Amino acid sequence: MKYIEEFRNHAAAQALVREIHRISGGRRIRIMEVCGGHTMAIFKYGLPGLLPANIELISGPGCPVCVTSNSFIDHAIELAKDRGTLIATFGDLIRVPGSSSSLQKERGEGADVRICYSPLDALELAKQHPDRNVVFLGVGFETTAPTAAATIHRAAEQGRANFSMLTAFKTMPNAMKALLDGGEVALDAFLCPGHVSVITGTGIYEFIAREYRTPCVVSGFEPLDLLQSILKIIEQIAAGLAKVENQYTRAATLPGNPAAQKLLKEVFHESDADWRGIGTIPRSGLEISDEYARFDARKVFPVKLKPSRENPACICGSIMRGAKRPLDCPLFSKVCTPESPKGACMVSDEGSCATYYKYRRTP
Amino acid sequence: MKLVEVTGTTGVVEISGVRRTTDLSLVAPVEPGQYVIVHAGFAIAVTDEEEARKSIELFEEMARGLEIEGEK
Repeated sequence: MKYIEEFRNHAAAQALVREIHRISGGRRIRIMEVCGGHTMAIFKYGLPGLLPANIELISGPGCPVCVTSNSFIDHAIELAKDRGTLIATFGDLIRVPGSSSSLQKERGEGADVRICYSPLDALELAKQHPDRNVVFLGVGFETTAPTAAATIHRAAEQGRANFSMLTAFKTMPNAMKALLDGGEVALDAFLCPGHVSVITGTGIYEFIAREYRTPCVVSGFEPLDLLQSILKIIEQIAAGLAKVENQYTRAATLPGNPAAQKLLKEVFHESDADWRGIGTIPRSGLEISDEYARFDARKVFPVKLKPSRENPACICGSIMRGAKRPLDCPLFSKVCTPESPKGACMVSDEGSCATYYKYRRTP
Repeated sequence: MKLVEVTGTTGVVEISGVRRTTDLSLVAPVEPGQYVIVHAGFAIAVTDEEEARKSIELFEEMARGLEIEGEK
């Protein structure tokens, strides 16, 4: 596989690890990987076992399903109860427990909930089922939001009246700022999400590097990408620098993807957003703009929701903030497993708990 | 993933022999033979092969450095 195998070379990994050892010199450095895709890759390739003990990798709030609030799940469940509605969603969302049910449970009771690979599949379902209201559940970050924006744009072009989206899209920079402002976890640097940056451009982290003196390195997803990014962070810290660097040069650029940015601007506007475990973060989300309100399920199908409830024993929220680790949770692997998840972090492949469960070695 | 077919803003990508239809509207214009990053049914970036080559060369050099040392 071109441009994949070359980034998994064992000898180069060893050389990078040796440099990381040498330059860090035993100094304790805490790096947050913000992206769920990075968390998955870090464990899959066993990087914690290769790195010196003084380098600590902390998972951040970058698993889309995990940061989605219970009130969003509750809203989707209410919509699914209407038998005229067809809910279309990415796969892992259906297993997330809401306050008292899940989409999977509702499906067992007759709700029509379909799994889609792309929001375009949901638009296709709307075409095939003109008598049903097809609602796509849009969650994710700057990487996924343009695919939803493009789909809404297309729905408008097609004049599709039975298609809408219930969205909870989130944006990264102000969530990273909120974690630093919260001061709960002392972080020395961020490994920044590669595919978010492909869309937004690598400049979005500049204020973090500058105002918080925190190095930010945009990283790819293969083991050599991650090790090289960690080395870049350690080199910055050793030199007393705090800047944005781009390791993922084969895909991410300073300006980002202009077509995607244009669509985002047209279809969405910036909003405050509710993050599981963090709460409301100002200007950290995207809402469908008034011009496309006819595709906003929140406006087209308003529902009255009871206040949402979280499982009090689940510590997914603290895990999302990097304050706790999955092994700190009393439910982990005992009553909460990927087969029977009690919290969102155990549902998604990108969730910290699911990743720990799957690749568990001594962290 | 390697882009193997392009028809307007729709394309077919291939990885390990598996083919999949992909929307190209976010990266157009693109040509067959280019490598794209696909997310949720959309190509979101075209791989910069020159940059990829530079990274690969650096890694190869590091790997060789370690091997030469091992032989000493």
